Amino acid sequence: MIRVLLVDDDQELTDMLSQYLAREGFETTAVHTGEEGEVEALSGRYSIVVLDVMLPQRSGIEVLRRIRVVSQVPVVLLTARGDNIDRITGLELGADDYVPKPSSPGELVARLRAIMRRVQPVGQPTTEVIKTGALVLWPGRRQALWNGLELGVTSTEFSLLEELARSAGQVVSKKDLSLNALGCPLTRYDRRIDVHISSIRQKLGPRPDAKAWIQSVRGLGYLLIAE
Amino acid sequence: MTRPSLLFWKLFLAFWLATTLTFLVGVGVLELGRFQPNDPHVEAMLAAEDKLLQTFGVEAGGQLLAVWERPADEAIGVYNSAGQLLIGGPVTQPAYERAVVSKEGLALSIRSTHAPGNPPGRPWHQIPLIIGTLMSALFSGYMAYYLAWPLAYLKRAMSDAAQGRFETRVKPAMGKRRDEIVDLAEDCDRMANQLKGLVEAQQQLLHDISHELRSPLTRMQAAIGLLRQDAARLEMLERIERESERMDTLIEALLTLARLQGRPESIEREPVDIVELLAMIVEDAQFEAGIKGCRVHLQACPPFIACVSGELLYRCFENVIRNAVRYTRPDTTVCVSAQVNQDANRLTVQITDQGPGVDNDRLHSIFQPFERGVGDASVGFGLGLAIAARAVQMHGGHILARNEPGGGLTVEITLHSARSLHDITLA
Repeated sequence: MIRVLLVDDDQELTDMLSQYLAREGFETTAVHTGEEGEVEALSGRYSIVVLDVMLPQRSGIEVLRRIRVVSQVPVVLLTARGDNIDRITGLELGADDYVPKPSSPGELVARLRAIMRRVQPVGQPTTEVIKTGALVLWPGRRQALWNGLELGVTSTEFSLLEELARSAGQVVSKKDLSLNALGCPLTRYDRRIDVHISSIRQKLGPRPDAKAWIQSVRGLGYLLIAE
Repeated sequence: MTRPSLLFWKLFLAFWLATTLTFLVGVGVLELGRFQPNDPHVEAMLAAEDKLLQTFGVEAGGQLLAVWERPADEAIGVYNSAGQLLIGGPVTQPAYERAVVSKEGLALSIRSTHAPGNPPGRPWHQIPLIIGTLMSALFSGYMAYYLAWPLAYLKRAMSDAAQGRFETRVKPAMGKRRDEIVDLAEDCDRMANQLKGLVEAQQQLLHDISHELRSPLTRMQAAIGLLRQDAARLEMLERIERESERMDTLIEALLTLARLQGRPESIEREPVDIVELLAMIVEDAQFEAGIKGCRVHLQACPPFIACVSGELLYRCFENVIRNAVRYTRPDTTVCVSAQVNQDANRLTVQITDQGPGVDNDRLHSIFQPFERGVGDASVGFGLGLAIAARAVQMHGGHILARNEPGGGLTVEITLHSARSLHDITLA
């Protein structure tokens, strides 16, 4: 059973979403303020957090920032349709995905499933290790080491890094990255991959020659430099 | 200031022409007055003296000069080559000198204190003219600059405002200057501030509207999703219906608000008894209040007839009274009192509830759109009081809210029985 935490101030909406998610096989808990949401999200009881950006008093963005200081629990943001600033800020702060409001609960479930597939790969041997240069990835444990140190990446960032590392030294198209790492096809004007990649770049730091470890190849996709 | 403006050149030329012309005319009058009467006179004397000396000799020349009735400050003298005065008066500072050989064969020199006519090639007469013209150019340039440079700043601020940049301020650039141009700069700054506030309020309003519309839409989507999962859940249809009604109510309220943004002249008016209107609303509100165990009490006064939009004022009072009923504690009374002043031209309506009141710093902002009580997301949109305030302002009245000492909120609305539209727009 996947345990979902819903953080939204609209109680009628969370009631209906809880019912919907229950039938889709999720166990849902709903809270209605940012403060409660933060406490619950950090309790470790939930596999995934659905967080509304427009919360009274403490905004969803602020809650996400506080969660990310200590936890890499997957977070899906509910953002206002057309509000790109919230979206980009959210992804930059380490949200795994966003769902615009209003959209159908079916869409939310699809996004939740895609993230859960990444976090809990089914039937994957836990002993598999991917090594390229100073990067060591254990997909089974979702663990990443960089120069021997733990690399704090979110699950979405891990999936992207994993895709790039499997084909290190080769260009991976944004289409493939979206499908394999985010679990959904690439749409037009989709900035999610670029924002996640820029976040991973920051965590990896620059190469000795001051270039980034992940190179963008215009029109083709991204490439992780193999040592 | 980048480059002198057109206005600068116009002012400069105007000032310069004016001062230069005045100066030139003055100089001209002076010069003419000094030269005109003397010139032909001196010239004729000198010519005659020259002729006499050459033809008849020194004695004849002496006789002419002796009989010449000369003006007090003029003198003509004939000197020999040794510089001794032979005939005529002494000339210490000759303005004119001419050599002549007399009949006797003496080399003589005729000297005069005054020159015959305007002698050519004497530049010192033009130097004052040039200095004067230059001085007037300097002065005109300064004046033109002084008047024209603030306008360059004003122009830039205006074009910035026209392009939606309201941050440019003119006043600081004026320094310590104090005059009407600085007043204009201050007005310009104030206008930019006002515009900025208006634009921001408009953007906030749009943002709030889209948010308010989004919430019922999202709930509808969720209800539709549940219905898809299980077609037997027909109660979801009621939910969808309820949400669509909510959206309809919101849109109607927004349209009313938009209508109230217009000019006071744009609303249709008719003579309405406002006290009767209040009685109708109070009666309607009794039912709603009864559910909570509350009462609405009307302290009425004689009829007060004013030329107003009955529909807008109905909405206005209805919103305020229903608001009071919503927030008053159970088993309490909402008091509506109407009072007319002595001249019978002003009506004051006070609506007092026995609820929690509002924080003092929110007493003004509750009349802004989408301002709701805390923890009040489920009831209303926060448009009721905004519509009421606009409607009152549209009728030239005043609305204010205050907390009662013993708890509860009073909203006070003042209306005038304006005789004509003119009075209303003035108020």
